[in-house]
Amino acid sequence: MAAPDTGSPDTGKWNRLSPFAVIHYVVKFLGALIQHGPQAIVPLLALLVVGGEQRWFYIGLAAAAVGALMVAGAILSYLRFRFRLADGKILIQSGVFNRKRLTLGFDRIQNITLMEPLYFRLFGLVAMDVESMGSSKVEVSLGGIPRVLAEEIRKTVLSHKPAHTTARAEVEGGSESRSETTEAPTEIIRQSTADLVRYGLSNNQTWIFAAMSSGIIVQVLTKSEIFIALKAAIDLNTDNSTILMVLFIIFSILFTLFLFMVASVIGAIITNHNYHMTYLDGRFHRTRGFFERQEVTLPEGRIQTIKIRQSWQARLLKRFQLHLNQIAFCQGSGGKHFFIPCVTEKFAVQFSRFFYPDFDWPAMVLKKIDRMFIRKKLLWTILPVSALPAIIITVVSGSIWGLLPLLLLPLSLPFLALRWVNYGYASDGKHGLVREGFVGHQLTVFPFFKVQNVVLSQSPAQKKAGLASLKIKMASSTVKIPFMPLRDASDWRNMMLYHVESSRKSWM
Amino acid sequence: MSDTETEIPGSDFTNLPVEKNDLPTTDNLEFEALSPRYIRTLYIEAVIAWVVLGISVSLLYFFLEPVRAVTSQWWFLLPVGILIILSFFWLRMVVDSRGFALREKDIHYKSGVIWQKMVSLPFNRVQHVERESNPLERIFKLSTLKFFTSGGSKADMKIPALSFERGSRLRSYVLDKAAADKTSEGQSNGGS
Repeated sequence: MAAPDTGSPDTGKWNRLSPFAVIHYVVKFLGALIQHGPQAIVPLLALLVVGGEQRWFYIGLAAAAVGALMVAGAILSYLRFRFRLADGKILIQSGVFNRKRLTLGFDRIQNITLMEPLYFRLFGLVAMDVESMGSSKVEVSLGGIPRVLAEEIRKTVLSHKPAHTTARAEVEGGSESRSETTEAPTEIIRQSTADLVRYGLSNNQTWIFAAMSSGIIVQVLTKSEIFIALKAAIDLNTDNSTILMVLFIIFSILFTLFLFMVASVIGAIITNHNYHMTYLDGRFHRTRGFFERQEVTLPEGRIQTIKIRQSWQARLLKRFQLHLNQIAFCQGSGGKHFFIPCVTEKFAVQFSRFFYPDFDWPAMVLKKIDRMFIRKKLLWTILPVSALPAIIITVVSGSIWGLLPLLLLPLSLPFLALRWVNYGYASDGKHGLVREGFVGHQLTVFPFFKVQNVVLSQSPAQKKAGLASLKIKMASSTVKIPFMPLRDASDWRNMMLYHVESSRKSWM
Repeated sequence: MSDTETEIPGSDFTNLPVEKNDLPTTDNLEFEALSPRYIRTLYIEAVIAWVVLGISVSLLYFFLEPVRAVTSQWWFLLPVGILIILSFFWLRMVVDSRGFALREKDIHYKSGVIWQKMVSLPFNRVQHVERESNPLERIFKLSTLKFFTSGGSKADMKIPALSFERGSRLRSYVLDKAAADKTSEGQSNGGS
């Protein structure tokens, strides 16, 4: 089958993917295999152990069989896949054994991603992911269509509705550069490799992984030849052996950290290589990636909150991470990540000004939450999790050491204090700003008219002290302000309801 | 997204800056009580729960010596008896603490005897409304309304114990309001 012609996407005919989509399916399957690797490799390992003389032959056979199945599956998927565009909808037919039909209206589309892996670049093909929004999650994936067609589809889909995202045009009505007819997109940011290195270095997860695996690395290193040689050398002059051992372990931990840093930096560069974001006609457009070029287009109205994050490592490097949170299906996931890694404070401020032109939050003074926060967290969160094991262990073992978990109480105090210090909120009457964190912190900026609902709650102690906790539900995530004065909580609620109910702008 | 305070020409809609104190307040809402039959469903549920608990304890009573030793003592039975009686008073307080308030453009639901909370939900953010009744509610001709907004799959507001008639009236009222808002939103978007 030939690839579909690169004409109008809405031909009313069912289209097929390019035959090269088979490659995409195989690669995707391999990726899944690697991700769920351990389970998949276990039978092979078993074969390796019990296989005897001809084990390599069997392993080869097994690999060949899996490979053949994979290719066959990919070819079948390709053969059974059809798509078409009609009446503002994307229609998909797919499934090898269970036929699946899927319809996705253009107005329910949240964002569109074009991916151009290395193996597609030669043929001018891309894979296209369409993410929906609403109360159920639908994702359409077209694994291998000509770039021209993909761009045509993207244009059709995104210009389908009269865009209600042109608020900016009104605001900056004076400047001609942003009238609707503008063809040249406004550049938002282009990330240098140096910034990506910084991003890789400040990735919090790196530190967590490094900390978790340093134990293993230390073990491996203490069994290594270097260590044995070192030990032999130490044995010659005995006195300093313990110090050297400790030094060696410290060295191994630092070494682990170093390895993870390098991996994190390489990872950051590979995924974010040539990070480039532009803005045109109410839509953000981002390209990035080394092996696989990825292009995401996101209508700005879909963005619910902006989060400006700074991990403690990034704090040392004076950089921030900017998250644009889209409508999410399960709270917490925050939708597919759309963020700008490693930006300066100046950029973060500029960007938020671009987004919320009349909200000058850097000039705002944040209000603190009440100190009762620390006491209550200690009493209701830390105490149960430390006292319960302490009691159980003490009773079971009969040893006084069982009370050790209670140490958590004084130890957690500084962290709770930090969290309390970092909590802050401010509003100009139309937007909200909430800060939270320990050493690093996160600023959430959101316009009141995008709020979905508000929950105000009070415990008896809060009621007595004239305090309340506010939970502001946005379509992307929930923003919480605990232990704020009741007056403020009530004012916030009134203002949010007022803006939600009086604003004629769509929140999405 | 900006929302500058502008006046739209040719429309009576204005959006001038408002002082905090001029805003409609949610502080003194008049809450409507839930159905008087609600307390009965809760009583029945409590009776069922206590009976199930009682049966399981009596089973243990016959098979385990220590249980028999404890449960036949007055110092055990008296507090349990008080607890059972108190639990019914508690339910009364639970019912009294719950209620909803309707305004022109939003709905509020308060709940909680000790930890009190109030959910405020503007009509124009309602995605869909579910009406459901469990068997017990059906016997008493009651229904629970669940309101959903975008983001997250859990219901954002649950109003229990509405009579069938009141429940469906409230549901269609809210849905009408939500739909009305959507069309006006669409028009203003198309026009701009």
